[in-house]
Amino acid sequence: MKKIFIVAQYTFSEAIKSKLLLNVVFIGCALLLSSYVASELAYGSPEKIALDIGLGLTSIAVKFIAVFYGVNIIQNEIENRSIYLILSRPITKIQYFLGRTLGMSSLLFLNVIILGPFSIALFLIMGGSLDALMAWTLLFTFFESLLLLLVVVVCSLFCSKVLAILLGVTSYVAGYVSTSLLESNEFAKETFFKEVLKFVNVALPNFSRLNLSDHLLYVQEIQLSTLLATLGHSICFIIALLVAGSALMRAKSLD
Amino acid sequence: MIELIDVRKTFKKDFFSPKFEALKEVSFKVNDGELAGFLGANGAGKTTSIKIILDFIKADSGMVNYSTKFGSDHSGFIKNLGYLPERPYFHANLTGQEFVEYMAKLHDMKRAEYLNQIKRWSERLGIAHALNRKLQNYSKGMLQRIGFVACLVHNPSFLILDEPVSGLDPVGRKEIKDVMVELNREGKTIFFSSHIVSDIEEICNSVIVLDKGSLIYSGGVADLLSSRSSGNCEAIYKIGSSDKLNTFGSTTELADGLYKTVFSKQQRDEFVRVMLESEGTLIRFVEVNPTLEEIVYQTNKRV
Repeated sequence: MKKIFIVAQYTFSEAIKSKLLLNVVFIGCALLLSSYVASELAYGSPEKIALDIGLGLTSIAVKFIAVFYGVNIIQNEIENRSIYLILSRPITKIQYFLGRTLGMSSLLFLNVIILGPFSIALFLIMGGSLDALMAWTLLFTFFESLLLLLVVVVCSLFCSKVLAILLGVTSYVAGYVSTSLLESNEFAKETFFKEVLKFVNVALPNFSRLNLSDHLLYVQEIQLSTLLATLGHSICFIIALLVAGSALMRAKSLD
Repeated sequence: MIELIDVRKTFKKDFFSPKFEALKEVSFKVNDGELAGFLGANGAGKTTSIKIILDFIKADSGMVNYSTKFGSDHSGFIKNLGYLPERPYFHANLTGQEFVEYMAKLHDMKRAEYLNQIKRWSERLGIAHALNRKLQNYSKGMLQRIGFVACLVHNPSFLILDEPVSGLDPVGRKEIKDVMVELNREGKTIFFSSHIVSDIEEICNSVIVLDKGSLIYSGGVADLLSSRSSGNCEAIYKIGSSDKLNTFGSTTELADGLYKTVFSKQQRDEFVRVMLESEGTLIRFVEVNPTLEEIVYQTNKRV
């Protein structure tokens, strides 16, 4: 475990020093500006519009980092040969993979933990009230980006970076829409499509379940058991992706 | 000690292209305490061999044995290994100090211990002044030096260095070579690849030569040079009271009354005797041996 944390620590430190967190400043400014515009122009509940924009921007920012930074965390190290310096030390390929992923996950978590509360603070200042679902929303935003990161990193271990990004984005979209398509009447009649959607629904993380914005903004009831089931569902996929990534990394030839 | 036995490795550029044989059943051994050079032109298979030794890639067939003193497997060897890759690229946003600390922590070193080692080797390799600079601001030579510090920080007993002096200025090359000799005298085994023959001839006591994936030679440098010796001597001199000296071997007249004569080793004592008797002036007297470079690259045959 110690080796994993050492790699994670330096991955995180390297990302911080690469000014990746500057996005937080830009998004923070965008949030302030959009909240001001919303309070001036919106009719009804400007605080909800501000919160919607805030959570949306947070979610987009972490997903963007997960896809476009995540695809490089192993692949670039192989291309630049800096991985040789690490793996010629007493550390296994699996420890290295887990360390890099943990370091990158910490960065995503930091983004969520800065931008999320900032959006909520603006919401409260504008007259909104605190809700326990806010914490779940932020947690699930982090899990959503983490799952996307893992999909992209795992794909980058067996295909090119461009293809890994495409596969990651496709998996996200397919995982997001599969449930709603399955529930729609149009596809329910088509047996073949229904089977395909059922497979996609099982094989890919259900990203739509991780989006709680609607529940939060429109005060829709959601059971604790549903939240826990979604959490369990995500954790299962995270473990499966970590196992798959570890196996691929172990077998990977570093030529 | 590391030993490669009948190692073969092929690569494919893509799915449709034919296999390219990078290593053709290569066998060689680097013994404990040796300073061994690994020679070969670009594409000869040096880096591929090193990657197989380090288990970065798998050989198609053959095996790699490690000294039992490192333990029975690869992980024991890795703990005692210092490795510097060719044209190393480091994490650009870390400082030199942070990078070397990162490498030291992976060896479970204590803080006081690695700080002491970083200080020692960064001063020795002339990079102490830049330890707090980000690596992205380092020159190529500085990166090579900090890479060498990282390679030595955990006091390894076996060093594998892939082109360690490439990119360095003449002073830097001399410093690195001096450090390698110093480390070898301390008992460390050093295996370094280069395509610069003179560097290897200068400091190594054994050499392994690869050409297009095949082993050309493996053994002592001195043995190789003496086996290729012409057995002739060469003298440059000014004749004295008699021109009898010009009757030895083949003589060429140079400028300013100088002569050059090449003769067999057996005539050496007789030549010196005649030189003294005739009161000639001896300018240069050497045994004619080909350089390692001439042997390795100019003959381009199995040596």
